[in-house]
Amino acid sequence: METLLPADPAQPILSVRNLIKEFDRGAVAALRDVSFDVVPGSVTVLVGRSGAGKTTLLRCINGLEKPTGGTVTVFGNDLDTLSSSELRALRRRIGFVFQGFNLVGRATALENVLSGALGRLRGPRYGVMSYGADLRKEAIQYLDRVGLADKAFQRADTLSGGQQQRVAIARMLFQKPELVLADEPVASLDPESARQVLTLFIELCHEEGLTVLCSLHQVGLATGWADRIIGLKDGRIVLDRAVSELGADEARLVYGNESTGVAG
Amino acid sequence: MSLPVAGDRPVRPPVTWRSLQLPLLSLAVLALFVIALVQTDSSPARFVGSLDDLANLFARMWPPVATEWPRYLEATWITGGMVVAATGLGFLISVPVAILAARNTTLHPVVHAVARGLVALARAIPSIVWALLLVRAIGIGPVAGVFAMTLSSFGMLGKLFADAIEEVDPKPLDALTATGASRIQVFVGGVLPQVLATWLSLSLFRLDINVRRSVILGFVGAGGIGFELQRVLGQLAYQRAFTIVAIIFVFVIALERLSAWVRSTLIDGSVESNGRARRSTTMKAVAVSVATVGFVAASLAVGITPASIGDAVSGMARVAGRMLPPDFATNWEGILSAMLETVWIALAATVMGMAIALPIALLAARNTSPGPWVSFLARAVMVLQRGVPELVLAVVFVVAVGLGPFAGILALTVGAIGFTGKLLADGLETLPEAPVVGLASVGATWSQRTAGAVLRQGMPLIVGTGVYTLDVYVRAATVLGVVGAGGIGGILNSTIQSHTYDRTLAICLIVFALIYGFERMAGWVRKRLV
Ligand SMILES: Nc1ncnc2c1ncn2[C@@H]1O[C@H](COP(=O)(O)OP(=O)(O)OP(=O)(O)O)[C@@H](O)[C@H]1O
Ligand SMILES: [Mg+2]
Repeated sequence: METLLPADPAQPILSVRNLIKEFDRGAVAALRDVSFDVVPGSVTVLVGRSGAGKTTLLRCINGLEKPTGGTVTVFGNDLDTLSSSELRALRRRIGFVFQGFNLVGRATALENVLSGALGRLRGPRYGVMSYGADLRKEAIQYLDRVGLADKAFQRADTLSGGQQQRVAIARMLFQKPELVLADEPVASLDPESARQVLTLFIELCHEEGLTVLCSLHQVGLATGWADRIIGLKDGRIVLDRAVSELGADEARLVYGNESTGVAG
Repeated sequence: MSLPVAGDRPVRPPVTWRSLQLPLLSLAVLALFVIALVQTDSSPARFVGSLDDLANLFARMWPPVATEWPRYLEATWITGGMVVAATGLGFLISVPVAILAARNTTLHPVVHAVARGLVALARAIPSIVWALLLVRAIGIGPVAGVFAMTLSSFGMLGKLFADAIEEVDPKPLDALTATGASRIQVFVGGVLPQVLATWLSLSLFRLDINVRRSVILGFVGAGGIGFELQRVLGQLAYQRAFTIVAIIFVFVIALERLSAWVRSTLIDGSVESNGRARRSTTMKAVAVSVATVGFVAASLAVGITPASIGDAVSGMARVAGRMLPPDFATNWEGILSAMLETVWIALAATVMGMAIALPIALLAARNTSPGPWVSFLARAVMVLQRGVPELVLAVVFVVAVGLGPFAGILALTVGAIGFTGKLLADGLETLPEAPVVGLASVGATWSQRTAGAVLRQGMPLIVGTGVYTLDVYVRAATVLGVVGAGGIGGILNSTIQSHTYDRTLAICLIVFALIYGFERMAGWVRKRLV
């Protein structure tokens, strides 16, 4: 894992070239020839209808899914050339926020946050007390930042959806990543907590100076904080604009109908 | 980055009754485990020594000798016939009794109670004990083995068939009754179509169990390949014994694969598309014919005739007459200590078995395995282990390490690979994958994901499986003594050999109480877990 390249601030932090992903031996084409770069410190929103390929794209970027063709380069490392331990070392530097939170339900909120540190620890852990006191103190502070310090010892599956996603965000921050991928992080929340959690998420990423690539169903939620919008449709990029350059038509297209995203 | 100070927030979890449950349970199990090892003279040195003993035994068994192969082949053939005949007979007895035992089809509440009681009695006595009694009642030979397995099959199928009838949808029955159909017409037109598939599937499952039981019954004189094993071991002809164990292994695995194939083509295939369903209807007709012909041929081959059935009934009636009243008084201290030994064997084997089975299950389960090849290999180890049923293992270990509970502990421990390992692996595969993916995304290693997500989420499953294993192993440990591997089975066997059936009944009742107690305890623990 020592062979991993460090991030070069002058280069794109993430570079996707001609990415193709097929499922079921070519029966389903989820991504067809997707190419784009992400520069350090930027916040990019990925929009597209259900089935457009957003989840598949994000999973290809942190190696949870293996592309059928094309290359993904993160921090200057071509994913395809990495050994499994190098891939793990790379994942450590990429935070991932899931639509379904992906917490360990029977573990406490604190233990879930602590598990964010696993990438830089050695050996298996079971239970809060298997982590050192310093780590525990630090993890509580991360819980505090998402407003859940008082829920530290509550089982994760007893928390509300919004609270669970905030725990997942704390876990992601505790991981101390350089790049954050978020897959419809608020799609399973009610509109009110969706807005709250998304605002918190973006604020915290800004504070840490993280590069963000976030897929969203409802583009309206991106107003005000996204630098760039990439629209996906049927596995292809159909729109790629800096938000400041977004034409009035496109803006209406994108922002006009909150529920559908890019019409195409 | 400036972190707000979290003040004096506690960094250790509050101590609650819930949080203490698992540590306390582990501590209690550990303490009991140590006691069990001490009580059964199973020191760590002895475990290490047993490896030498096994190596020695294998050296004496190698190379295998098969000069008597026509005999073994015939005995295997007979064993197969015993299995088919016993499963068929068990099915034939179970159907009418189940109809009388099911609340919704019985003739009278008294009939219902009597039928349920008969089924419970057949189930309460292990098949090897039935075999011992039948060998005494009608003499050695495969007929005794067939009836022993028939009774055990009846004990299981009679109950499950009746349960299936009680669960049928009552609406079609009411509709038929409303048209003025007779009782029998209602049953044939309304109940039978709803339960038949379940009945056949259960019978196939029982066939699997009977295969595993059949290979050892000969050991107590009830015919088949087990009889050959006992004969050559008596002659200390270990090289021949090796051949026979290998034959048993192939026999059990081949039949297990065959029944898995039948299950997947006939039972699971019938829910496919129309074309497949039609095709499988023809296949079903063929299967039923094959089964019927096979059953008749097998029964004739092993000597089941109306006369032999009559002999068995009158012989068992004689034995039953001499069972009453049960004699609890004679040698009660011996019985008590043998009962305790039975529990210690089960406990020690459960703990050690879990310790072996859990890692194998983690490697085997699709969603927790480090890779598909590892998973395949681990599954293969389980299937291969199941090729040697635990009583056969017990026979081998008795030869290797000597008579007594230590051999029984070893046998059940190894048996957990195939039994508990499979249960755990199948259970692990039902666990949600999201938490594991969550930990994978932070860069956690396989061992970190396994501890932090799989074991964390799977703990109720693991504890539940452990408790279930203990329940099953208490049952299994009560008969280990029949082949000299410790526990109450030894005394039970000697009371039958000496025709003191009143003592036999007393021990059976005590064993039954013990098994029932553990079953209730297991049920209670598992209910509290979910
Ligand atoms: N494991 C899989 N096997 C087969 N097909 C898959 C798999 N994963 C995704 N697909 C298919 O790939 C396409 C893209 O799916 P993807 O989940 O990436 O879409 P999405 O944009 O994230 O949609 P949503 O908004 O519903 O989450 C879909 O047609 C989907 O059915
Ligand atoms: Mg998606």
